[in-house]
Order: sequence, then structure tokens, then C-alpha cells
Amino acid sequence: MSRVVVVGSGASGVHFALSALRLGHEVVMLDVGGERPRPVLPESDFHEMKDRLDDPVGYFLGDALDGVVFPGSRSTYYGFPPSKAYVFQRPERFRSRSSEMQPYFTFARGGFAETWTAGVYPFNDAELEEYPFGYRELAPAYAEVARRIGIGARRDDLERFLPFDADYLDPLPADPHSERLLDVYAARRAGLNRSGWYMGRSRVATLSRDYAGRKGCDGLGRCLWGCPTASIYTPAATLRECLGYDSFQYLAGLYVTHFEAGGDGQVRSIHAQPLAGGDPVAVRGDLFALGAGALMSSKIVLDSVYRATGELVELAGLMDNRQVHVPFLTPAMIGRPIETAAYQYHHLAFGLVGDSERDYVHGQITTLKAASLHPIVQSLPLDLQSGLEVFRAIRAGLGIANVNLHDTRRPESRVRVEPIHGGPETTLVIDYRDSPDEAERMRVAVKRVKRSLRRLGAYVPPGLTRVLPKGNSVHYAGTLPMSRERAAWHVDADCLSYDFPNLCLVDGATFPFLPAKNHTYTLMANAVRVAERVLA
Amino acid sequence: MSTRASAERVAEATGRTRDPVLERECDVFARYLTGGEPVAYARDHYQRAHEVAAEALEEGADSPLERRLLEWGRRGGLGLRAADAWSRFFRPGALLRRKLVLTLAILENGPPTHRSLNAPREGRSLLLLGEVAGRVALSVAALVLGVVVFGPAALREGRRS
Repeated sequence: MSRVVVVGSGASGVHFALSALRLGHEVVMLDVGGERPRPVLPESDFHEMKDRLDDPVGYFLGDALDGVVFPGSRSTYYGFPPSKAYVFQRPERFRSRSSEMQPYFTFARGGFAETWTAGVYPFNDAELEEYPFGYRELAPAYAEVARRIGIGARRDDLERFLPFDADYLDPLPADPHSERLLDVYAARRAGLNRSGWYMGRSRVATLSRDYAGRKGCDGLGRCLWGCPTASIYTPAATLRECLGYDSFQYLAGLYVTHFEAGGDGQVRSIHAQPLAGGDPVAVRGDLFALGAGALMSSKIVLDSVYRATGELVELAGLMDNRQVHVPFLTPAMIGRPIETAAYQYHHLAFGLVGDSERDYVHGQITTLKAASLHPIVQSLPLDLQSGLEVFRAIRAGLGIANVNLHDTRRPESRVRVEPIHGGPETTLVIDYRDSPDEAERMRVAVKRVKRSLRRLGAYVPPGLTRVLPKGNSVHYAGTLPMSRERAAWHVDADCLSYDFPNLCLVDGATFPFLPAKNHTYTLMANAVRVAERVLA
Repeated sequence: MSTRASAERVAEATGRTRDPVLERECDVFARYLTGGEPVAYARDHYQRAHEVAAEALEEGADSPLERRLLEWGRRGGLGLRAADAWSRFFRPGALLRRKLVLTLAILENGPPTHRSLNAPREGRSLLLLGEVAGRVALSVAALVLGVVVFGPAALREGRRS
């Protein structure tokens, strides 16, 4: 049995830790661990809450009105609600600066997956081409994660892009608008497939029935504000499982600053500062796993090198999926009854075949149910009162396609640290540059999505498509990539650092290519794969 | 957990005296958006918003055009609709528009207005589409009026800057 020190309780960290515990190792997890507040009125749906809460405006808009989307302030149709503010709270000592990208940081227990929309899409062989392993090696880990978290999926046309090898649960019943789009797709499938459009049910880590101690979805319509029944998987569920092991220690309230290595490059200890004050903490171990997210894990590596040698290293290759929101209207749904307090996230996903397999475009289709109205209504090209009435009249037919583009590692997109007043503390500096072909890829993808939606009987109003700000998808990756060849600031096929042999990177920092899919499922699967290869 | 109790709680928590201008503003905007008077709870939140989000709700207040838009807006009726429609296209971040969006955000989340504002309309799609066309026509008419009323002032302001 060895002592494994894991940094971070996000999707990667908790699955790596659980695998290590099951293999009989002792695990110490260090985490800032900002806690999710207890859900309020957990049995009430979206509308009931507004009747029953003492101060519903305070809950939905926040005490400082952070939940109000004022005109011109953002380019999205929804923002993170105040109930998710804990996910983005930063320790005071953390400093960052960025150009051209608006990165998000999280120090919350569970990491960014506390805010995800639960889409789980395995990478296929074409997307793993630059990885030092193929789908076959990852498949058992995907299956293990599916068993742990519970995924609703069914066999359909998306199997062409999404291997279907795990024990999936039945998906949630689709809402009437999504059913309608699927029916039209079935009727016009041949033509749509010829144009490269394939559609099916989303694969989501949302339970359609009780599973693994979690409750099946009750359709309360509170997904965006935080599922009160834990039907949507978050890493907190796996952390709870880890806490059931005597050999697991969870040390929250610690901000990891750096690690120290010996002359042989072996990491001896990880150092953290208690947020409550007091002396720094040093934790020793045999194997050290960084799962703090690509940006924070990179900062820990960079700070460790800087503190030990004074050298300021740059890590190139930062990636993030660019996303575009394409709102649409299905006239045939207008006037139909819809349940607005219902599962809020996407029921449908689509794939668009590109010129090459790398150019695959992935997307999710969310029909409108529970929502904040004011960000949508103000975007309509009408006075606000007319906009409100028009919105209510067409609401049953509204939806949004979220289009994802792939990203590649480029030397000009990089992270580095800058010492503050020459001392040991540093600012994380992020430079991100678009790939030269991104604008054109985006233009073509959006045009094809609009055309396909039209064939499905859904129309995209002019002027309402929104390209989300860079950094918005929080699919950060690529700064310490896997490589078959030994190279500085790279990791091997088992995600062990070539620079520090007992340092394992288990998060997105190790991904050498970022396909157009949500990468959270692959983060979890890769963490399981790595644990089994390194610790078995 | 009545609405009245909530309103009192919010008012007590902030310990504020009511600003009659903001109160009238809230009444006019709520009537415009919902056809009815706001409850005390909504009024309290509207007032409180001007304290906690003062920056977002005061920026640009010195501009003559912004003041003019707000004056027309405070009168309600067609003047408000014209100022709102004109702002949507030519000054989307106008103070008037920010205040209207704030009012909508409060009303859509608080009782008793949240249910009616969140309720999708049901019925025959052709009738609803006809209604949509009527609304669009009304908004276009308001926009034209807005261009006549506010266009020259906007041009003057543009020239000065």
C-alpha cells in the first residue's frame, strides 16, 4: 500500500482517488473545497419556490443582484445564477491575468462539474489519434465511470460518433418539443444524413431512476440553480463514496501552493496554506496526483519550479472549446401545452460530419422550459413589453442549439506565472489566441446548423446567434500534454511527468487534442485508467 | 411566508425610507410590463436595487439624451413604449432600458406576477402568430415615433462627442 496525495476534488481528482482506494492505497486529498450551500426547499419545483421562499427575488437574483443580466452586459442568454456563486469564489491570495480569454476558476468542492449540464460523450479513435492510446484502452474506464455515475443513453444515429459500450440507463423521457424534432428527423433522416447531420438523444449523467443512492429526476426544473435531489451527477457523490473508506483523508480549506522535489526529481511533499490562517502544511507521500484543473495544476507546477530554481517556465498549448448559441423557433410547437417546471437541460444532441474526422462538430439541443425570462426577452428586437408578449406566445416553440468546436494546441496559447514583487507568490498569466481557421470553421458550422434546423422545421431568427466569449466553456486543457516521446513539460502515456517521475497529472492539462465534445466524461475515465495503470 | 411578510422583511433589512421618484418609476414600469400595480415586495426590491447596483443603474444618467429617455419613460403609455423601442435599437444599454429589465427581473421572480409572466400561451398557433404580428406592428410604430422624438437629440449628442 502506498500513500497517494491528490490535489483537487473535481471530476478527475475524485475518480482517481476512488480507484486508488479500491486498489488498497491510502489517499489524502487536499482541497480548497468551497462548499455548496444546502438546497433550499428541496421538494419544490421552480415555480413553487417563488411562492414559498421568504425572498425569492433574493434567491434568484442574489443579494447584490448578480443574477440580473443588464442589457449589453453579457452576450449569453443565461448566466450562472447566484446559487452557484460558491463555485467561482476564489481565495484572496489567488491572482490571475489573461489576454483575449475570460477564464473561469473554481476552488469549489466538486470543481467545475458542479455547474455542468451533465453531457457525457466518449472520445472515439479519430479524436484520440494524438493520444498515446486508443479507444480500446479507454473503453473499460468509460464503462467503470458509467457504472459509478449513472448515464442515461440509448442506441441511435449518434453511435456513429459516440461508441456505445457501457451499461447505460434509460434516458429521461423527452419533452414534447424534443420529441417533435426527433420525429421530423426520423422522417427526413436520409436527406439530413447526406448533408452530414446526425441526431439522437443526449447522453447525460442525469438519473432517470433511483441509482447508486441517488434519486431519479423529479423534473423540478431547477437544474441551472442546482439540482436539489442530486439526480444530476456531481463529483460530490463520488467524494462521499471516498469518505466511506478509512484509508481516505479529506483535508479541505487548504490552498496548495507548490510541491518540493529532491535532486532525483522525485516529489517529496506538497505544500499548502490553510485558508483560515496559520502555518503552511506539508504533506508527504509516495505518489502525487494533480487534479486541480488544467489551469491550477499548471500553476502548481510552474510555482514549484519557480520556488525551487527561480526559473520562469511557460507552458504552451492551452485549449478550450469555442461555443456558439443558436436560438431557434419551431412554429409547429406554438400554442401547444408545455411543462415549464421540467428537466431543464438538453434531451437531444447532434453531430455534424466535417471534411476530416477532426473537424467533427458536436452540439446539444435544449428546448426552453424553466428559464430566466429577462435575458431572453431583452434580446428580442422589440420594445420590452411587446417582447414579453411575443415571448409568451412563442415560448413553447423556442430552443437553443449549443454548438461546440474542437481546439488544438498552439504555441501562442500558453500559461505562465509572474512573481509578485519578486517574492514567492505569483500571478497566473494566461495568453490565449484563436486558431487562424476558427472564425471560418465557426461560420461554416453555424450555417450548416441553421440549414439542418430548417429541415427539422425550426427557424433561426436573424441577429440572435451568439458566439460565447473565449473561456466560457471551461473545457481547459493541453498545458502538460501526454506524449509518446520523452519531452520536458510533458507526461507519458500513464500521465506521469517526464520531469518529476512520481508526479501524476490526472486532469485536462494532459489532453493533447480537444475534440468538439464536452470532455468531462473523458477526464473521469482517464483518471480511472491512469489510477489502474499506475497503482495496480 | 406571505408576500407581505417578505416585503416587510426586505424593507426592515435595508432600513430605508422610500424614494417617491423610484416608487413611481417602479409603478409605471410594472404597469407597462404586466398591466397591473406592483406589490410592496417588488417596490422594495426595486428601491433596494438602486442601492446595491447603483453603478449599473446610474451610469450615463448625466447625459441629456438618457435623461430625456427616462423622462419620457416615466410618463408611461406610448411615450414609454417609444423610448423603449428606440433604445432597443439605438441605445441598448440606455438607463431606461436597464431599469425596465431590472423591473422585469424582479417581477418574473416574485409573487404574484411570476406565474403569469412565466406561463406560455396556449391556443391555436395561427391566432397566436396573428397576435405576434400585431405586437410586432405595434413595436415598429413605437420605434418610428421614437426615431422622430429621440433621433435628433441622439444626432446632436453624437456631433458633440
